[in-house]
Amino acid sequence: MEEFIKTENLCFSYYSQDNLNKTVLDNVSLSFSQGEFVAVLGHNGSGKSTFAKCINGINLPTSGKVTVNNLDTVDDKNLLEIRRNVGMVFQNPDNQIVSSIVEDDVAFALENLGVPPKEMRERVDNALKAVGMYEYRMHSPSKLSGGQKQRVAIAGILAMNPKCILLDEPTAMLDPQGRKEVMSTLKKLNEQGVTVIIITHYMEEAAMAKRVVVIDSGRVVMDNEPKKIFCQVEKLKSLGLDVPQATQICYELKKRGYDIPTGIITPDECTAEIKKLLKNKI
Amino acid sequence: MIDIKNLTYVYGENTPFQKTALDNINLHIKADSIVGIIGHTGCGKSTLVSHLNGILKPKQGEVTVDGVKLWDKSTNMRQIRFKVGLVFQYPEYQLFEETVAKDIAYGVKNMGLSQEEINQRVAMSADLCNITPEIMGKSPFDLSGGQKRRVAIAGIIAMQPKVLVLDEPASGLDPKGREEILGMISEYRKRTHSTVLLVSHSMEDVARFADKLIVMDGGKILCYDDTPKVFSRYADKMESIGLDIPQVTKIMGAVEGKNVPVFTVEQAVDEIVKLINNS
Repeated sequence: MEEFIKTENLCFSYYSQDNLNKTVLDNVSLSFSQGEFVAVLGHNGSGKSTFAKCINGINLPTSGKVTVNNLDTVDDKNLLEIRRNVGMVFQNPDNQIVSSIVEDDVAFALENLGVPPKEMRERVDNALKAVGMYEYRMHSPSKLSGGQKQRVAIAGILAMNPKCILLDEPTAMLDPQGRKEVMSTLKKLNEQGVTVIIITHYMEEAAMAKRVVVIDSGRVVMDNEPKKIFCQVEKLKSLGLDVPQATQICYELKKRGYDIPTGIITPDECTAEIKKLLKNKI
Repeated sequence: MIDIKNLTYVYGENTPFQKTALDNINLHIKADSIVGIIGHTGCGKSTLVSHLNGILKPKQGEVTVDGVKLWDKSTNMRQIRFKVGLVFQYPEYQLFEETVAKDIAYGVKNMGLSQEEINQRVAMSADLCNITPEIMGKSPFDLSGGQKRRVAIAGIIAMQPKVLVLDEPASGLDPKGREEILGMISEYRKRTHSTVLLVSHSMEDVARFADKLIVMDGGKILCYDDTPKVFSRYADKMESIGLDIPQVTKIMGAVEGKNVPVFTVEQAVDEIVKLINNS
């Protein structure tokens, strides 16, 4: 499939108080095709968020190149088109919500894009329904809980119908139900062809993606399908990461000498393997 | 340590957005324990903890902390706020001083202690929160997310509150950062025998660190019991109100076909080994 987002030898550094040139991203070359569902993992300070900001031109590469749909992020003329293609959802919804009424906020970008009122109404309603916030459309965002606000922020991006949604820890403030809703919304959107790139600390969420990229100290250290990433338990732990509990159980059992396969990432697979193990013993 | 009687709180009273956030809450929390508070977003967790040091004033009912009734005419609310340390969500946004050391000392300085005592408390807190002397001299804005979070919490711990309340202290951190923060909180309780209230969305975290759990729904307390009992007895109820039980608990439940009081990976592995040996 054609490369939709591509970074070539992307380096990014910023100035800090005691370290003049702090390198955050170091030679990152990655490409994402349209329709992918990618989770980006890495501990705090590994450069994940910086990477995300490089993709839609919030950060510009110190060296190297980033292209979206063959448009270079360095060229000012391309920025509007790039941001129309790649919608970004930040960690803290308070940084992203601008209006005093929920549905106005979701419509904000559409107003800027000059979408006709009738279509705007439809897109705003659909986006709010997709995140389960339709009944709050006339509320003030300031009166919503953190999780509800985050869903409104996601709706604002969804309404733009972007080709790719880039989310920086969108579920950090949500409860399990909210997280499930967001993740299933993302899955649904991905099935409709939207490229989803999600930065997360929840290993269970990463296990739902089709591809996992692990970043450490600004470099890509792992890039594979979830099963092949999560079977490397020791390596992930040494990178300050974790594995889903289902994977952890199988890993511990294997360590104690029981015959159980690696690469188990979902609770259902784990349950099935344990049942098999018990059956074989009888 | 904490006594709450018939506590009711209403947001936006007499406006179209009127919402009863707390509905006749009764609660008794004893000293030297870690209590987890769980519930989906908007269920009233944050509203409840905001009452503990008088950020919010009850609409009805009363809150008593360490024998002192809040909002009584004779009660010095300033003292209550030193007694009950509240760590908000994303506390790192509150950092503002030039150096980490100054930021940690900010709250303690307002307590009217001697300089010697202030220094001692800051040092003790920094040690507990694993903040090295090298970090102490840095600007808080040059730290990583996990470090900032630890500094922000250290500022509260330095005041040595008898009740430490943390609203989602580990959210947004990587797994190692979560471990560090939660380990630190548990260490604080061990050293000081304080009461710790932990508001969290992570069932895996509360399962491991909390002695007791409060489950909230729609401004009411759904259940309040020892952690193992909550997960084994109320699992179905919790799922029906949009909460989750730890992944291991779910797996073991599916394996054995009934609710099992297993909520950490270690317990699950032991349980499986036992099942294998018994069969």
